[in-house]
Amino acid sequence: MAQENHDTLRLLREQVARIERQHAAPHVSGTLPTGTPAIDTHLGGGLRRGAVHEIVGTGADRVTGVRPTRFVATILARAAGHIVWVRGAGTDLCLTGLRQLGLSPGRLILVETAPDQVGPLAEDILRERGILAMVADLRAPMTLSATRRLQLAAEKGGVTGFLIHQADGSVRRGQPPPLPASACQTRWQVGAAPCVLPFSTSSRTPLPGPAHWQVDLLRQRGGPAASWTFEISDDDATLPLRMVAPVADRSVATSPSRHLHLVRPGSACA
Amino acid sequence: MLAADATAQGRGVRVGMTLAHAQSLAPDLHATPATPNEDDAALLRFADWCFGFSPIVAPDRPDGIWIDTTGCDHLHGGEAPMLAALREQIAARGYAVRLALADTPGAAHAMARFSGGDISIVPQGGQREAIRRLPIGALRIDTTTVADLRRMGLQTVGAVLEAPRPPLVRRFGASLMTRLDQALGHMREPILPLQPREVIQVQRGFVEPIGTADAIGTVIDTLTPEICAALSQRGLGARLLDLHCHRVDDTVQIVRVGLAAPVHDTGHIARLLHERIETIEPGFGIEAMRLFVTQAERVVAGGSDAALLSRADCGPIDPDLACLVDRLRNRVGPDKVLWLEPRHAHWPEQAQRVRRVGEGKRGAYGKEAGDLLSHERPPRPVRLFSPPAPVAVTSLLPDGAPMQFVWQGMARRIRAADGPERLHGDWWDDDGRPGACRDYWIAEDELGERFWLFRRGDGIHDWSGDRAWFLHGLF
Repeated sequence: MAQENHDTLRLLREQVARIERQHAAPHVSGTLPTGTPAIDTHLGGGLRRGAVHEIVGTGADRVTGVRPTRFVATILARAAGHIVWVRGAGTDLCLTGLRQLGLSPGRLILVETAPDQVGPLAEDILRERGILAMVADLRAPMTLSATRRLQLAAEKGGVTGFLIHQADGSVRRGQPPPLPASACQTRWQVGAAPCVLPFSTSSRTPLPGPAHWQVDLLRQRGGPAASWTFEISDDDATLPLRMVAPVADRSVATSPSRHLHLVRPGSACA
Repeated sequence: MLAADATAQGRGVRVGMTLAHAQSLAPDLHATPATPNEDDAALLRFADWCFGFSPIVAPDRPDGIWIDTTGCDHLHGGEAPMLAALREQIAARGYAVRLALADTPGAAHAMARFSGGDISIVPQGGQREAIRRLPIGALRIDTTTVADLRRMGLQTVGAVLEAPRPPLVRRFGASLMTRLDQALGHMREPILPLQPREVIQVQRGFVEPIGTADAIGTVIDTLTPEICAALSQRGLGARLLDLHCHRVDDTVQIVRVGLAAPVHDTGHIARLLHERIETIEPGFGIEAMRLFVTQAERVVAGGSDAALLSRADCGPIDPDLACLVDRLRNRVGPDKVLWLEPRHAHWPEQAQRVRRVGEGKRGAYGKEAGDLLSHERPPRPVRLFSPPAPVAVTSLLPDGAPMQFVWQGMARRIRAADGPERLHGDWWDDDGRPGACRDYWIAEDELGERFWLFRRGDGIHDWSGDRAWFLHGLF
């Protein structure tokens, strides 16, 4: 009897999977490894290819989207292939900065379009073949159905999509509204955390230690959310990805508290 | 006798005589056998030359050329100057020519041959008056009809115009009145324009007008392989293609696609055209479609353009990428598909240039010293503020590290700072400000946000800058 139930469940699951993938072409399997063991293990190898991932910054970066850009660039630097970067206005990307992250600007094609055309254009690019990824800078978040369209397009075309949320900079006062629900594969929040200052009393303004990032996997389809704090090493130029040394690994599932503790005995923390 | 020059005509030689008759009139007559095929070829060559005046040129065999100059006369300063220029240029090539300009091909044909003048311009709508006094031979009707009309006493076009039509139609058939109506403009007379011979084109006419996207797509799929075969046969690749959709209401819908590199790949071109189907307005239906190669270039195997697109260090290029670039360009415009090119400049915002894809220095991204240099340099943000945002900074010493600054109405206390990194401007760029410099600081506030701040000048000397602080980016 138990065996029979098990089989029925399995059949139903297969059927659901078939319905879900009805329109999808042979799915592009594989992942884009982030190069950070903690994240890759959690995601089962890395960010899924042929899916859309969205990243949002915190604080002042909610508008500028710099840390999300670095997060995406370091991941893309590890894979080969061309990247189409869609923007609604003139570009503010800095070539030297991208190159320092290991991303060759020759792989990058920038496309400018009208702000209301970013969504449809992104969808078309996701249907392309022969490119690695599409990155879109979004001034205004997309609707749930728009992200669903993107996700379906990515599944069909096999191109990995990244949406970088940049809140409208003209709204200076107050927090930007929270992001609406989306159908993306994952949603990340990359924020800053105070660095660990090197032990020194001589200098009035001390030198900053390696930067700390608070990386939150806010949600992922078919997987648990998680939260990490990383130290970004500035001095090791040979590593394309300088996201190393998880200082703390606190899964949201196990700890609802988002408060961050830097656990590192012996270091001074301001 | 098919033709005679002015001297021969002066001696009484007429077209239509037998050679013996003509030679009896002029014993020293120089006669050559007629070569109608060569004459026709020469006429077509001459028509080709006439493309300099208008894109629509048709031979009016055996001895005339129609040029549809609609919309072209202003290029020469009006109709009269255009005809004068045309005549001068033809005369320079050694031809005698008579020119007539009229609203209809029929009237122009009649005026050029029978008006007697070298240049005649029929004013708009004036063809009825103009051809009234011409002999009926001007109507492009066969010689027996002309003879019969003469026998009836109708010598001029005007006489035919005034005669009652039904008996004439019964006697001579509809063709006489058709010619008359065509000359007067009552009936439209299409002229079959020559295509410039270099144009590679394929076309399809349809039994039934088509109007659905699927049908248009099918025609595109039929046309593209043919045009690609024609292109590759010549060793050419298309840079610009025009798809003309002739609608039943006599208008033409034109779809134009441009390509970044010369292409004769069927899939590539068909895909570009398919994307533009939605811009075609079929109206009551499309009865014919033509695909032209408007601009073509020689394809060099593994040539410069391919190399440009493959300069990324990611192995051999997928042809899909060139296709993608083309599609993006056709969608957002060629000025909006860009890449970044490094420049040798000290100010960070000048160290790159945004170029159209395919332009810029080749090999700019190679494994050069520049790559190594960028790793050795102090870190740079991935996005720069443009222009840098002015901020109010508090620092203990004029040339010291920033302590606190206000940005977006929020005070940020600086916990740690690294700097200064002094950058000097290009001395040849700074007009009248030699020695201008900036001091860059990487500053982290209490929340852990890292800012890239700079101060104009070294903080001590006025000539180096005005000590204003700016935020140039975030890390």
